[in-house]
Amino acid sequence: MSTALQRLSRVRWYLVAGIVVLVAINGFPFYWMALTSLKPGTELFSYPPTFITTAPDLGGFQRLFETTNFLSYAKNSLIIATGATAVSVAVSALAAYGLTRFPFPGSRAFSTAILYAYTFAPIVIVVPLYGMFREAGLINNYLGMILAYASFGVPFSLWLLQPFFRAIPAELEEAAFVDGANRVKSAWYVVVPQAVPGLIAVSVFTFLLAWEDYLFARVLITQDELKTLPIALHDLYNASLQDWPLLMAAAVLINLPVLIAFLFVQKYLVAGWGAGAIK
Amino acid sequence: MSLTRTTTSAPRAGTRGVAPAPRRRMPGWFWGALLLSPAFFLVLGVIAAPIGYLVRLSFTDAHAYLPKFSAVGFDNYVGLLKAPHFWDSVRTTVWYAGLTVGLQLVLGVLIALMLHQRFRGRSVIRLFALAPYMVPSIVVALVWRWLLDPTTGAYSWFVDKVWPGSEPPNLLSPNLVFWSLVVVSVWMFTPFIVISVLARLQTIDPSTVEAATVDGAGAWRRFWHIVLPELKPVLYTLILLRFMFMFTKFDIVYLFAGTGTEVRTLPVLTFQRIFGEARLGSGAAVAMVLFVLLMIFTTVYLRTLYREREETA
Repeated sequence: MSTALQRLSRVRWYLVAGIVVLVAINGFPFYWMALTSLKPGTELFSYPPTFITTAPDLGGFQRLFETTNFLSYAKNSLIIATGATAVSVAVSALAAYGLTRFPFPGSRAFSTAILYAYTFAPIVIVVPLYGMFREAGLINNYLGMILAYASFGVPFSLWLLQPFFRAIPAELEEAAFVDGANRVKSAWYVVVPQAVPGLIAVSVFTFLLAWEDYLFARVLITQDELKTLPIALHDLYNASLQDWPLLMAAAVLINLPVLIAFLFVQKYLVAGWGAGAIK
Repeated sequence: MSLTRTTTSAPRAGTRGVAPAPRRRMPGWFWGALLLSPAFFLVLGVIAAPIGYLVRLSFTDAHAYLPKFSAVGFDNYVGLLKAPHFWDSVRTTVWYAGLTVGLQLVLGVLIALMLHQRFRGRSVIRLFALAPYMVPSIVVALVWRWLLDPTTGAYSWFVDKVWPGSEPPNLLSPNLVFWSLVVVSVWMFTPFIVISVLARLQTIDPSTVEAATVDGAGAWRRFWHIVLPELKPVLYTLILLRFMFMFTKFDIVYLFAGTGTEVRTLPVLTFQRIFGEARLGSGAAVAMVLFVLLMIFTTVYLRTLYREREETA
């Protein structure tokens, strides 16, 4: 018994050291980002760098709002990401319900095709999409962006939602039919509430996909008024004079909704990754 | 009596030749197809049709901005195979994907094993372990370029303190930026491995591990003989999926290191050809190379996935 305890405490020591290193490595870039956004100009270029600031300064945030169109970029990002999420979740929930309740010849082939679509890299799709959108007049267009992100969300969402819908027993629905509900009513009141964890996971996933994407926005948006946050931030970085407190202030603000969403839906996301990403 | 089994008994509209009765039930496959159609057309329109268009583009000299578009046969492909920088690009991509996947896998399994232990505050630590994966690529790229800035970066200063040389190293210089990119990519994408391995670890029956402990097996032997065999299928899948993912990764590579020629992976080469040199047709040929490789990877992956399912079923 005592040897087991000794072994345990030795393992504990390694564990504590490992966790400290992990938190430092993963956490420091976040700390440095937030710190830089608050550093006054006098501390910014000191060497060795200062690891705390004695005079926090909101100048970076102030310049971000006063000298750039940050709010209009944020609005673009919000509209596109929300639209893409709504379209993608609605479309994939319908399809997941169809696939699990009404199997038909070819539905297995459809599932396999969806898996292939899931593995398509954005760089492969964006090249022809640019040509097609140019001809269809969908460049610099909210709808074009929403459709592009929604269809990127669908394969993953559909894959992830299927097990959730399959897990809902058909008897539940049949009970609703006996009680006089039709299929639409039973789907809405019986099936959808059961699938909520999956629906939350795919909503967050699709929203973040659109909120964080750089490539599609870079290629499919050329007007300044329509830029989303990631490409706007990259353009600010590429400006001749790099204002690091301003850049890091923008980075903090872009990250904020992501980290909040992450905190709230962590368990759904982990469940989703476990279920959808591997098997 | 299941309502979903009406397929076999439902009369077909064509055989009757009269208007269908108002309350007649449509067969199940009809509803299935109807519910699937929005997803089908969306994926067809924005993913499948573009692939067809990509094939066509790769056989033309299409210009990225001007309406120039004429067939050139296999010229783009021949030009690509003859260009030495294409093969440099292939080599860079293989190195980048291989190194980052290998490091992610080793670190990811280690971190997952650590987080699988019971300790107070585990859920908070898990947040730290997963956080980098959630950050947008542009933010990761900027923050790390700032951390590694040769004159004021916190990490440059740290590296200089730990490993003092005659001159502070410039970690963003053309000959070091590839290695910095590997570190940044591993930092960003390891959490995916952690989550996947952690999910699998939780399904291992703890009593088998306990029994081995009682029998005197040390931590290493328990890992090697009990845990690792259980993880093998997941790790195999992860290697395939992540290699494919890193091989075609564009955002972080381009944003952190890809505006020059030092780190020109195939996705970056595609982008530079089209939007830097305005050669849409030639860039499409590079994208086709990536597409064909993706198809091969996916087919291998699905084969193993289905085989695994049959074994566990």
